[in-house]
Amino acid sequence: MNAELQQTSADWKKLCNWLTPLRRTLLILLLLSAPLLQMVWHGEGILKYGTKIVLQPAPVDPQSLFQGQYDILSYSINRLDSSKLRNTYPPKEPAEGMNIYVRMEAQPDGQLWQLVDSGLEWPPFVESNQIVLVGQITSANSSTLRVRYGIEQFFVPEGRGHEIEQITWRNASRLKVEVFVNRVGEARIGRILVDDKPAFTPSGLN
Amino acid sequence: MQPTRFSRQLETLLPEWVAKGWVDEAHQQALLQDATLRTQARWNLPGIIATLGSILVFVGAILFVAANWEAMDRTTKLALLFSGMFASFAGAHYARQRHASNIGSALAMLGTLFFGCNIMLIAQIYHLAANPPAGALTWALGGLAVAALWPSQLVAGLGFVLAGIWNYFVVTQEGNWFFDLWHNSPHYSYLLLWGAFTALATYKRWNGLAHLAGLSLLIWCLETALIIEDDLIGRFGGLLCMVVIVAFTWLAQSKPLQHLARTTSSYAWVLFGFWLLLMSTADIFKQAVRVSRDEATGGNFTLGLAVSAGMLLLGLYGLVMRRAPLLGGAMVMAALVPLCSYLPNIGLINSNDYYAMAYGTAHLCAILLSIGTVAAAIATVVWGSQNNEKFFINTGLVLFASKVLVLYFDTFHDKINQAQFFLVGGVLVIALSIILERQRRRLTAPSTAHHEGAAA
Repeated sequence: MNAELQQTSADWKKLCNWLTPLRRTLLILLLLSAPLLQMVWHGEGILKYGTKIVLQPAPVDPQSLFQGQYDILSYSINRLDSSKLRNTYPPKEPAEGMNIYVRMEAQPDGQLWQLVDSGLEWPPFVESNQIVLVGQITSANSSTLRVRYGIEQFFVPEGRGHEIEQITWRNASRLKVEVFVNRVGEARIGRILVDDKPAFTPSGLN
Repeated sequence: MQPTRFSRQLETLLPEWVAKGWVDEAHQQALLQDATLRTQARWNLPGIIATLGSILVFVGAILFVAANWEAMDRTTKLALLFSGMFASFAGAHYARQRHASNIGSALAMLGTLFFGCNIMLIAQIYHLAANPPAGALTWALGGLAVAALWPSQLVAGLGFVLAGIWNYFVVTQEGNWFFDLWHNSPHYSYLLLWGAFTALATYKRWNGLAHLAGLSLLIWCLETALIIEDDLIGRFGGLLCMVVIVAFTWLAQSKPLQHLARTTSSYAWVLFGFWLLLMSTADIFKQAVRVSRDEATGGNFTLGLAVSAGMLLLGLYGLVMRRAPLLGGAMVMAALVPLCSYLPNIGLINSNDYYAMAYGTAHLCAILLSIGTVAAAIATVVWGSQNNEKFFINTGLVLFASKVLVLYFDTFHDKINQAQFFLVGGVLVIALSIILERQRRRLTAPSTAHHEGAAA
């Protein structure tokens, strides 16, 4: 036992000696960069390889302390009727925190995507013009389920949150959101479209 | 590592002490090393300025990127975010190589701040839904890695704060109010992160962090008690403090944990004094100890009664047998509050006049507790002076003065007019401060002399 302890202590000292100041700095940078790169990798992956769909939102404008201003976007699929869920075997009751799988379909004109159906399990089949969006139930108190998909926030340049609000207040159909969805149903916002043209590009709001 | 002023002085003095035969020559080097290790984290002016500068740079950088992101494409933004973090650590490494360890540490802290800034801004770039607990946890874990590898007490301090922010986000996530803890379950996983930071601080002998560790643990204990049962915190707050004090008094027997354990229990003692002060105020006591009819007939009533009675017996044993008179006395006071709240309910459950009787008895109990608090304050001062414990002398005197002032406010606020009330109150405060400061000096003087005598 004593010999084992001495060996451990010797190994520890060896490790400490190997960790020179330069190696420590490099190791720190490696450890700190790893989660950041994972975020970038995941985000880029969805934007590059995900299926592009277009949804119609209705925004409001709150403020984020450090990240700048953002618009909260709400979609029709944020509120689902619990009585219209796909049947599951064995039957399940929707509850807060559960995943919900929403099947969306492109409209014939190729513009907006619409809800086909939703359920507490991945749909048994998905047509070629359909995608599945995974959301999380945030409230299941009544017959209406509130669902979050991670596409409800869009960061806008400082002080310009009201521009979108004003556009949608006059004519809500002018605003659309380009969303990218990967194979497992995760979604990221790509662009905001106003009159089918990208908004908040370096050239400003169209 | 640059020698501090204290270790430089010691370096000059030690050979003289060795020559005079006060210090063994063999221990000279060990003493110097220990003194250097203990004082290495003390801050000089460049270190403080560098730290403040780091915070300003962090705030400036985050606001710059947040405000100007429209003008940059995604790649430029990411390059800017990563280069800020890399440049901070490169600067920190350079400073360390030039033996400016305090500036190096401050720049390492800036790098850690940039890491958190990058988490938030990358989330912004990809429009990720806000998840404050996950963000704060990742940031705190990054802080832990930097604190351990650098190693830096300053970054460890930042990490403690970040761990606290993570805990706050977790317990308030569901609530709409700033301190809305009631809809959540206790956040036990916080203890893992707290333990990791505390273990690091103990291993590295960063004694300054003991205060952060003690304070954050106490806040967590209080928060957890509030989450479990917010109605009972007033009644059982003293018992909770006693559990923390006993646990950390036991831990203090282990030499590496001594400083941390003593610091944590000091905060618990202060908290206990504050709780006693509140509970011995009649109006607060009456509200806090009110037992509902449902509770009085439920199983928790018996459990609460048994725990309180057990604590009372334990306290009396410590007090009467003089095994731990201060702790014993405190246990008695901690048990008396819940026992007083149960007193009106025993045998009166079916009484029609239940609330009136309970309220009347509560008033009597509050008076008894007030007398007990004054006695406890005096006993603490006496115990502190007998055992040369300045902390307990000061705590006892503050408790005594606070109790006198509370009694004055409680008794006279509606009996004399406002001008007289504040005039007399002011005179009372001044008189108390003079009398108690004289007493404090008189009581703490022998302990100083005692130490000087021991050193001689």
